[in-house]
Amino acid sequence: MEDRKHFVNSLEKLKMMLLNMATMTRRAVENANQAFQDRNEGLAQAVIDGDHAINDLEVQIDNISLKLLALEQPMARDLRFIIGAMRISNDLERIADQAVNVAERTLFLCQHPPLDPIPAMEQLMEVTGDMLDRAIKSFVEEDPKQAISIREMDDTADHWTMVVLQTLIENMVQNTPEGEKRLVNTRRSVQTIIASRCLERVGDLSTNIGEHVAFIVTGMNVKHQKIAF
Amino acid sequence: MLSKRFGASATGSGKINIMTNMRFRTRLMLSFWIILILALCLPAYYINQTLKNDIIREATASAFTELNFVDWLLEKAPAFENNQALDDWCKEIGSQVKYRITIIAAGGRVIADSDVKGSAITTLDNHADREEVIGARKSGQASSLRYSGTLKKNLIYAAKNINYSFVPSGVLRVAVPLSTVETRLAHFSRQFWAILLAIFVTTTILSLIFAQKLETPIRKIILAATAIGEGDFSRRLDVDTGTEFAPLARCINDMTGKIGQSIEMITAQKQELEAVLEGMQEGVMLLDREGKIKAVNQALSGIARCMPTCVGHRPMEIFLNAEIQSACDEVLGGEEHLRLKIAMPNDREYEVNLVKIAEEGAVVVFHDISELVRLEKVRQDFVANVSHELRTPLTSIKGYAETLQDPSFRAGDQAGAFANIIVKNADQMSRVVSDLLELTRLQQKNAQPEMLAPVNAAACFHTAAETCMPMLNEKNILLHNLLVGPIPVQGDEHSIVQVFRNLLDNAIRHSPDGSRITVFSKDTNDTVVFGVEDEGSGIPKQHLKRIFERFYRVDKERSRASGGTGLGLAICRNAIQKMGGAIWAESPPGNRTKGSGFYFSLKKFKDF
Repeated sequence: MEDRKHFVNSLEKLKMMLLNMATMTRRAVENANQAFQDRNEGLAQAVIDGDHAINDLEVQIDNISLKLLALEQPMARDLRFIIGAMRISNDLERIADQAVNVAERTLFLCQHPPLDPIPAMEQLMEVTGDMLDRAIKSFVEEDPKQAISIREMDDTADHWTMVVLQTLIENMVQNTPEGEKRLVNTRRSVQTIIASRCLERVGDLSTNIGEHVAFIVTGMNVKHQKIAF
Repeated sequence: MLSKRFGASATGSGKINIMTNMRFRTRLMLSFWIILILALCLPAYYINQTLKNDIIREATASAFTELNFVDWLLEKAPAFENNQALDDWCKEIGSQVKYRITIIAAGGRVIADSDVKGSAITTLDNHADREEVIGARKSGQASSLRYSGTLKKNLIYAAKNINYSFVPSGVLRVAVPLSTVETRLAHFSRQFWAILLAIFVTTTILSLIFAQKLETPIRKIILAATAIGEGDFSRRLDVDTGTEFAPLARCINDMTGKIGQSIEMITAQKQELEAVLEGMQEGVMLLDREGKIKAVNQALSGIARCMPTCVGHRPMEIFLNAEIQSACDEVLGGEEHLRLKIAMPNDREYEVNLVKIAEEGAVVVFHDISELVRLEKVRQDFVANVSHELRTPLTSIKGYAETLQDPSFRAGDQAGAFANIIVKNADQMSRVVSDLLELTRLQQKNAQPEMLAPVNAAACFHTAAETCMPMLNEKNILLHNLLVGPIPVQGDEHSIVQVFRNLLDNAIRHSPDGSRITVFSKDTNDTVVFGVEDEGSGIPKQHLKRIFERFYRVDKERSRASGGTGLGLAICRNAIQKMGGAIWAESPPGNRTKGSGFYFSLKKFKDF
């Protein structure tokens, strides 16, 4: 009984760490987006500097999970929770890396004159942010329905990524002045396209997290298949 | 059940006593019985013994009387020739008197016996060792009570010495059967047992009745006490439950009344407290010792999306905010009081106060300061912007004026150009100042509201468009006017013209050369919505909410370069609000991918 209590406490600790990591990642993505929009170099640098804390958390979560797996030999849902936690922390770390990537693009773009605002980029930020939010919420609320619904938003994210790409290709082809300015315009456009790709990856990884949540709660592997709850 | 409760209370946690485990009525009955047994059986035994002795004594006395009578008969009888004659005599007398007469010779040999057949007399034991015979030899006469093996019954033997010629120094003995004694004694004890049984039955019934009389009020009290314990404080005991229990009943009634009052008071206090908590604008959250949420108020449910319920979760799960969690951990870990500011989704900002409750957990209060923060920012921006807006033209005015003043400056063609720049900047300054005044006028609360009159909005737009014509032509912008016929609205003509002019002015300044500006109207139930859409660079989403603030600029450098005071949209908003309408912006507008649109609604004027 005492052992079980200890185990439950450990699981709760694991959950708290994962939530902590999730909020930090969410914050990193939010700040990266904000920095990108406001051309805020300081904020972008803060996102880059803050990444190591998220990496550390991933390592810690891995260690705790491995320890629990080895010492407690958990079964059923506990087992799925631990495995799911490892997978989710892995995906969160990659999302944070994408945020760092956006921040790095921002630092580059701040060195150049701004492009005209691209509404599709804002839309993309919004939808991928929502996807990450929903992934985290589905984990907290242990709601497989919500977790699976993230997949449907992925199409929207892909759509806006395409629109950003098209807009910037158009911009590079049509509005490029001659000489020096052409190089600058191409560079900033390409960097923005890379940033949009990073955001799209955030959406993909959020979808993965949703699938892990569904796995934890239902025990079903919903990857690469259509399952409705 | 009853006695068990009594038993439990009587023995406490000590050893189980048999008495205390029995029902009250059983105990009462047993007590009755024990008293009765002591009171009846001991005297009965004593009486029985005395009676028995008396009867035996009486029987013995009568046996002696019989003995003397037989002796007298023997004395009067003629002398017997032999033992056979004596024996015959004995048998004859014996048949008359119905008791056994035995004559024993000196040696102890029986020579005559009324109850023994003639020849068998010789086979009888020697009687010299019989108790009564020994006693008679010693003291003349004696008796004994004994079971006779010969006759198979209890007999009283009475014997005396005799000395006749035919029986020299013999013993005469009579045996009176004791059966009468026993019959009497048996009769006595039968009566005694019958009485005892009757008394037992009576006491049992009586004890049952008494117990019942005691138990009924007790049971009533128990029922009432149970009901009170379960919360029925209106329950009262019937005081007339018997003299012994009346004070107890009164006591319980008083107690119930007092408890009921206390509970009512506590409930009322709790309800007041709950009402206060629920009515609070601030979100309140109570944490237990383990850091889990124990209770929240209504306002907090609005701040954090509580899944089905917040209770039992950790703050982290509800707020998804590491700062709150770590602050909660700190307070639970020993910190007395903490205050922090946190930003939440949807641009909300909260001041969070955490207070430790001694050893019990913590209270967390969320105070929404988003509006305060926003106003503070607006105020700071306004001060910074207004000084900036005035200083920029002032700097150039001062610069050019000083140049003109310089003695080394030679008047020529340049002087005119400089003067022009000074005038242009002064115009800009005066525009800013007059716009500010206009805005102040609009914002003044106690200013007389404009008389809302029927106004043709389409005509207002034409007036505005005419003033903007030179700018349109300059940038070669096509104005696409979709306003059809007179559009009657309630408002002030001057204000509507001003709104249209400002919106058009804005649109023209942010539109690239050769693009198009569309103006249209849309009827809804009782309002008309007007829209001015351009194909310019658009407004980033995060600015959309703030562009109606005074001097708020999306891109500081670019918009000032394009002229404008930074007050146009603020004036529009105030004017529209004064006319009871709404104004908003979208970027990109509707289903387009580029540009921005400004919209405002005005009340329709129906009887135009």
